[in-house]
Amino acid sequence: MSRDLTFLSIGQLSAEIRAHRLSCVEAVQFALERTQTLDKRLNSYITVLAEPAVNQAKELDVEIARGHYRGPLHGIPISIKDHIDTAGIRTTAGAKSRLGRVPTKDAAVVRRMKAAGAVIMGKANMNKFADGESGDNPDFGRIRNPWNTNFSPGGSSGGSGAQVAAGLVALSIGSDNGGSVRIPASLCGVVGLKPTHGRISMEGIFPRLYSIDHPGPLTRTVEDSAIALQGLAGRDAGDTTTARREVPDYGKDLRLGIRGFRIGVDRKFASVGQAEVLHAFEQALKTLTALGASIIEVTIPSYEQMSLAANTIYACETGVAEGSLYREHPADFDEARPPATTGADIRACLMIPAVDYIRATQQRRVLQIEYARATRDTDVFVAPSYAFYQRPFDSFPKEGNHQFTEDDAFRYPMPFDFLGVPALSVPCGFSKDGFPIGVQFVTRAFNEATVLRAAYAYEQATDWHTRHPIFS
Amino acid sequence: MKRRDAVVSLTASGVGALLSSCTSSNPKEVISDQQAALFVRQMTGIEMKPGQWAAIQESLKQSRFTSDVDATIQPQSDFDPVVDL
Repeated sequence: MSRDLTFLSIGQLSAEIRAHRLSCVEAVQFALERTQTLDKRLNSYITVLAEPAVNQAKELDVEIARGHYRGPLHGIPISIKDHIDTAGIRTTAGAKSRLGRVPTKDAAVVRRMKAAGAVIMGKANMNKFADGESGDNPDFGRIRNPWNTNFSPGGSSGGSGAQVAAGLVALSIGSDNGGSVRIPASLCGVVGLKPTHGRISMEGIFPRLYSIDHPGPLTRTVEDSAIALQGLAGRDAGDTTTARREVPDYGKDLRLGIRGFRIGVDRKFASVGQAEVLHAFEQALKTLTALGASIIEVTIPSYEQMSLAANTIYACETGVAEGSLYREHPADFDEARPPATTGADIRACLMIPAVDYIRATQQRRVLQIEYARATRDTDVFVAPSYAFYQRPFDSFPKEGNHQFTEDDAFRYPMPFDFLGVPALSVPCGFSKDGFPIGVQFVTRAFNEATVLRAAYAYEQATDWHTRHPIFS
Repeated sequence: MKRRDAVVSLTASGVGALLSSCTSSNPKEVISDQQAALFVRQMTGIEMKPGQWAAIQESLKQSRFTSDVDATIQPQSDFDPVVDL
């Protein structure tokens, strides 16, 4: 291979393709070779689509030769989390019991990506049933963090995070219901966007949590995140929860900067985590201030308030989605290494009174209003993306005598899934031993353009996104 | 036995407060394995495994929402500040 395309952004690759300096086939073959070389160590794919990807790329090259260029995703190699349906290609949701499941129809997000000209390189490994953030799949094996393969890339979209960080693809489509896009983004040093609930269609995606699931892109740059969202967002008749609001041009205001921006911080909320994470977050605030933004102290609903109602909603919706899976294949939940939800949990989920669920959703409404009021005078709210910079596979980190917990793991990402508002994680530093750290930008529902603008300004003022893992 | 009949039957046998016992504020009530198995089967349609009741109770405790909420609130999941605030 004559040219090193490894860490080129979507913007850079598409400029090459559009100018006929790079063919779609070359881009795809480069991605395949890198995958063949590195994925034995990362275990980031469940299925690699070598031949179909090359064939798709050939057709896309013919289109370009005929003068038909679809846009910035034309010929770009991407991956898809393996709980997103792909026509004619097995879609397992990370469970071997579903190896025989071959959908006849693409999910809405896959249709949109294909229509935009993206080339599907394969299906990314993930936490089984998108359940948990460990990156440890008992059926398909542990996914390895490219920055240190002894550690997890996070989950549940762990394969997606690892692939983007390692330069196997420039874009992977994941999903987030408790941090499953932003946690891998933070741990792998890439950009992860969880848009507003209803901004991207869930049609054809393994239904885990109906009111909380959010598909979202993982990329290496904020600009690429905007390009991906442009291709993914919009009303879809197949998912009645998708919003009817128009999709704005996400690139339009990207470069306007954040001078005069009011950035909300809740000091109590942002007080939990490994010391190096909290230090990197403070440094990020200084950078934002230097860019002309002002920091405003706000008080959003506490994590404890949110998790009380969220636990009930998560459990009831899990009961619906995973209860039927349990009946089909109980061994998936009763095995020695079950997903985060065990067989006992499934039974409990199915026993929660409906009144509890309705009250919890009423409480979510109350907290959504409280959050919107608390952040009304801000442009964006910022917080660490994840409390840890390092995620061992078997436990949460320990610092001194303090053992971190599962609540700490979900503290920063989960509330914004629960509230349904957009949140984007971008790299904000590295630990002394070389692990990436993320900061997330959050804003009001359907205001993705603002988080992209703020995160872009921050990214351009730092060089964290230019660092990449080195493989010997 | 229909689910309602099962609940009536369990109530008669002294475990009617079973669900309310599965909250963080109430102590566990002691019921027999047989009663628990019947209750779980009727409520979920799934057989309980031997020795699983304690784990189910613990999971239920963490998942129940029993706080008071204004009953007039519409429980929509999506929130649009332009429309809703």
